[in-house]
Amino acid sequence: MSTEDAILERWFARTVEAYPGETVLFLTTERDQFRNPVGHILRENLEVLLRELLGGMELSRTKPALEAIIRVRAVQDFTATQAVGFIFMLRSVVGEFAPEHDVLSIGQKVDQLALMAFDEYVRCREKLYEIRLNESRRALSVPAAMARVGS
Amino acid sequence: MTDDRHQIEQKPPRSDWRDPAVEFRKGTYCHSAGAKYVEALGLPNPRDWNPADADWKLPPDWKQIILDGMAERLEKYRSFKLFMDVCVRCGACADKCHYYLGSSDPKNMPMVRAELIRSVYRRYFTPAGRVFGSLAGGRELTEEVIKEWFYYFYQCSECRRCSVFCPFGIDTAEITMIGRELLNLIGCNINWVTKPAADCFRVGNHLGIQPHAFKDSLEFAADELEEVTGIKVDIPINRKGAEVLFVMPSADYFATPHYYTLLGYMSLFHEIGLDFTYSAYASEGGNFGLFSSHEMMKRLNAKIYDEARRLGVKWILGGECGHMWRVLHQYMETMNGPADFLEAPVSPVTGTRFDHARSTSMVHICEFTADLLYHDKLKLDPKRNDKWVVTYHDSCNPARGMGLLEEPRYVLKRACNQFHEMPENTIREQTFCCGSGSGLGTDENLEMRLRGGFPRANAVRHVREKQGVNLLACICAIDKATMPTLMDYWVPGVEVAGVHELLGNALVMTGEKERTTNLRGEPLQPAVPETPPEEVPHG
Repeated sequence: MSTEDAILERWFARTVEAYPGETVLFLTTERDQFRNPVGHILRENLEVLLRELLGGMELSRTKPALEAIIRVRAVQDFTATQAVGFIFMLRSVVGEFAPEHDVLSIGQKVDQLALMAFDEYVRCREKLYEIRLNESRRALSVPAAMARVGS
Repeated sequence: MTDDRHQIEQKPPRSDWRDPAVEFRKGTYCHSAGAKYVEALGLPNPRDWNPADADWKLPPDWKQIILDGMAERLEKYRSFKLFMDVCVRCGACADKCHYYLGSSDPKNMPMVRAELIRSVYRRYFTPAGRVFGSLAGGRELTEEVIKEWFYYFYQCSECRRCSVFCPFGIDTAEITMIGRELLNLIGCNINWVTKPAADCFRVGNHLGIQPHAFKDSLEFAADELEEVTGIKVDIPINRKGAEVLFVMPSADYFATPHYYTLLGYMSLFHEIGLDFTYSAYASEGGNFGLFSSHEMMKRLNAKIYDEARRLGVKWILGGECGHMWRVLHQYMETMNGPADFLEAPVSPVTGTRFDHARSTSMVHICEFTADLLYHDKLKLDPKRNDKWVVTYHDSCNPARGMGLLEEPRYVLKRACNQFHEMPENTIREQTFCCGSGSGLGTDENLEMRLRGGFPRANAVRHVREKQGVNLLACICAIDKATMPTLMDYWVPGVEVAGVHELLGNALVMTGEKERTTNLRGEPLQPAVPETPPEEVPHG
């Protein structure tokens, strides 16, 4: 297993520890993306984030990967800090497996990712209010149209 | 540098599933039923209360009421008794629930959810449990347990996906139904079920639409349809002597995008010259009684046969709805039959006799339309749907409750040029629920709905990315009401439509004007190109 794979595995493991114990094994072992959508989203996108963190931090790749993860965690049973906290774990995981990396540079990139994650979390929570409103509007659209005709 | 400064605990405390404590967090539970609706239905313990409050104002003898209710149901329903006894906790159902997959909450594993009630059964109804209590897997019935039941039995959409995988055939949906019945006995109901049921009992439909508004709504729809097609269709209401009574969910004539499905029905009936009638009394096919108790379900369902008898029709045709069909297909004849005053349904156009529907004398519109298409009785122009790259969501109840798998696809493939299936383990009998069924589609429960709907949305996202799907077709009124919200959050850019909306778009009607828009009033567009078209300069 390459160092990068080892980091990814540990990061994934520490991220899913946030879920109840009975669920951790399932999230970790079931690899079918439709039978285990949460585990799949986490694994697929943590991999992208790690690659970018160790590489060029290309926004066009980090942003969608962060969005995919946060979109899930923003509606699960997490507080805001729990939802984005998985980003910070990366510092110690990288330090553990690849101490040769420039710790300061990694730390800065982790901070950058964490700030982006907060933005995304807030965006998702705002989206909840927006879609709730849209749903009410849809429910009223036919009577409203009828009222216009009647007036 | 380490992350020692990051002191926030990421791991939840390890807890025993037998601990009933639950936290009612906003966005993850439904509001309690308003006292006036509970009263209107003659249900016990009407009061104002809130699930987030410590005091639920239960009746003093609530515990005895629940235990007596369990005893009565164990005696009355052999299935309930069997389901309490036979589970071996093999785990085959564990990862099949969409709420579990979306929330990762272990109490949403179907066998654990069932265990919430089964543990009480063991404690009070089995010799081992009475003597050994928790050692025999029993749990005391406490107010905390009642709160836990309320939380989790209103987190099951009765979709029955888990039952497909159970080697014993345990139908966890029926356990949820009994759980809700028991909760109803002490007044622990939710508003989004009880209010529609009360409206339905009073007026005939969930939205409380009175007969004159029903008539207005259908006439308005006919006017809209005339604008699109140039054809004025008839709106026969309460017409005695019609051959067919047509029953649909009330959302079809009062919500979008259901409404465009109604325009599709109207186009079809006009084109084939169906001798039919709507009913302002049987103005609701849906039945929220299913989500509270079998008595309520029977009470609300009775109007369909009553009206069929009064109007003297030969058989009944039913529109696109989910749980409506579970009631009609599986319970109606037992509850309010026999339908010996009706005939075996026969299509007046093709002569096909729907023998499989003889016992209820009620046919699903997708079966009816698929038969018309099979006999080449309809002329379609699928190019009118070329704006859409379509996939089909098997709505749980028609798929698993009545085995309606092929007919909607048959209609869609004839009405649309671009159709793609979602992955195999997410469709047909393995279909994932929308996460909002069985009365849970209310806005205050939005976060829980988004969790429950995530597995379905995840599959939609897959076909959106692979095949460019932009329309999710379905045949359930709850789906049509809640899937647009689900898509808004998880897969923006995918819209939701009924199968008969797409049929109505494609249907070439005799004497129609040249169509310039679809039933939504949107301009007809050319097919979605393989590559983006070159930008045309303005002006």
